[in-house]
Amino acid sequence: METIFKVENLNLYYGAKQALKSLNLDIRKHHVTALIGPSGCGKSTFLRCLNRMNDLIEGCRIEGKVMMDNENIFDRQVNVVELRTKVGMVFQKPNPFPMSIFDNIAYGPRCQGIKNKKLLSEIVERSLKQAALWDEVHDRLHESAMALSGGQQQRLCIARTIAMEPEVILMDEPTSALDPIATAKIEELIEELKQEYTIVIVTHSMQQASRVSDDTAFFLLGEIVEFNTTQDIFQNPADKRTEDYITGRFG
Amino acid sequence: MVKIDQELDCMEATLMKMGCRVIRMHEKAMTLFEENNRDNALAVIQSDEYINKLEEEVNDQAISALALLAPVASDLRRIITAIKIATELERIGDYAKGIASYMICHDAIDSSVCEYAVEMERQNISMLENALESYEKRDVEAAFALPQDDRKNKILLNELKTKLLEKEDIETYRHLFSISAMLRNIERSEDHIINICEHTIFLIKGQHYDFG
Repeated sequence: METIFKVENLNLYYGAKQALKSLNLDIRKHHVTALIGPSGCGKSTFLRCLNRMNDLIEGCRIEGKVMMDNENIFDRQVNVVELRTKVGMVFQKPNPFPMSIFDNIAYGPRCQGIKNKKLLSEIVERSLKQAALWDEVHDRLHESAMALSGGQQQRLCIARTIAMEPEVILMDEPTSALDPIATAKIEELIEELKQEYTIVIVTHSMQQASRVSDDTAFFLLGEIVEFNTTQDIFQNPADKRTEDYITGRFG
Repeated sequence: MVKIDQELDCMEATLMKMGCRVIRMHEKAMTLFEENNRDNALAVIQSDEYINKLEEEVNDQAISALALLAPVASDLRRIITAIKIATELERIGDYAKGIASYMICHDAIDSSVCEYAVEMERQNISMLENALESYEKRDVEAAFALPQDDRKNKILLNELKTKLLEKEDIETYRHLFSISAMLRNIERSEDHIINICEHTIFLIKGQHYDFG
């Protein structure tokens, strides 16, 4: 099975405090990898490593490697903007731009220099269809994105990411602010998206992790305690700490 | 204690109650070979209904836990194992009923048959007690050891078959088929007891074993 990210001995420090400790794992291509663990264990910090969003945090220092396409993404010659095009991100709280639905999707391609209206329209339609939002908004693309519901806004954010044709989509608790129906739609979308993209998702919901992911990494105090197929993690975890966490007996 | 532990402990308590009742059914069935008491035979047959109710209770508790508590890992294995062992116990209970049904229809049976049947039932009862103890105490070594013992009942059954076939009286041959069917109840009980050991191993190790 092909690997898209190979994490090698990754350590991360916020100033003197070490937040990630000697992480090693392979993230499989066209698979959904879930990161689970208690609050403050380093899941989101690790997620942000994969597109170097931690570069924006003052005092953040990284040791080790994250290999993508045989290149360490932390090497000086790596173009961070290109990396963040290849590795898109969706956040916990939907964050549409205060502009029309169309302009939200077209923003990224326009930044890349695409001006042709026909091409932009094609990109917008394709992205919204892939994000399962087209049917709901195709007749009001020039209305404000802020008027959409929470679930629709989150799918818009996914469509905005898809418009940049990434290889990887990072999702940081993408459904924690949504109702159960909107959550179910996003989870269904994740199942479809993995045919074309690799997805890494942080979630606090054990049930969501077991429903949507192929592989699961359990984080604790900045370390990866266990990383295995989701089936093995949830049916027969090797480590007692994993068992205690997923069965709700932690602490 | 977390809620799921309370619910699963309750489910397993129902299962152990079921196990104890099945053992008592077979103990009573064993006495029928020594003294064919019609009332005792009827009591064994009537007990089967209670065993079936207990099986339903275990299943209902399991379904409730599955629906409401989202069990995973060892919790999920506890539930699956309980459902499976309840099924095995229900079948073992049916076999006691089968023995009692036979004894009601037959006034007397050959003394050598009785002798062997009593010994085989004694073996089964001992095995079932040990199997349930290994389940209750999560003793994986005991669960592995029990099926490895010589299949004493198979040896006894073969000995009895040989003895019966050596007899030349018409009466024995007339009843051979029904005796064989009755003895099959005892033989099949052993198979289900072995299954309980396999389920116990799955519960503890999360791996499937087949002792054949």
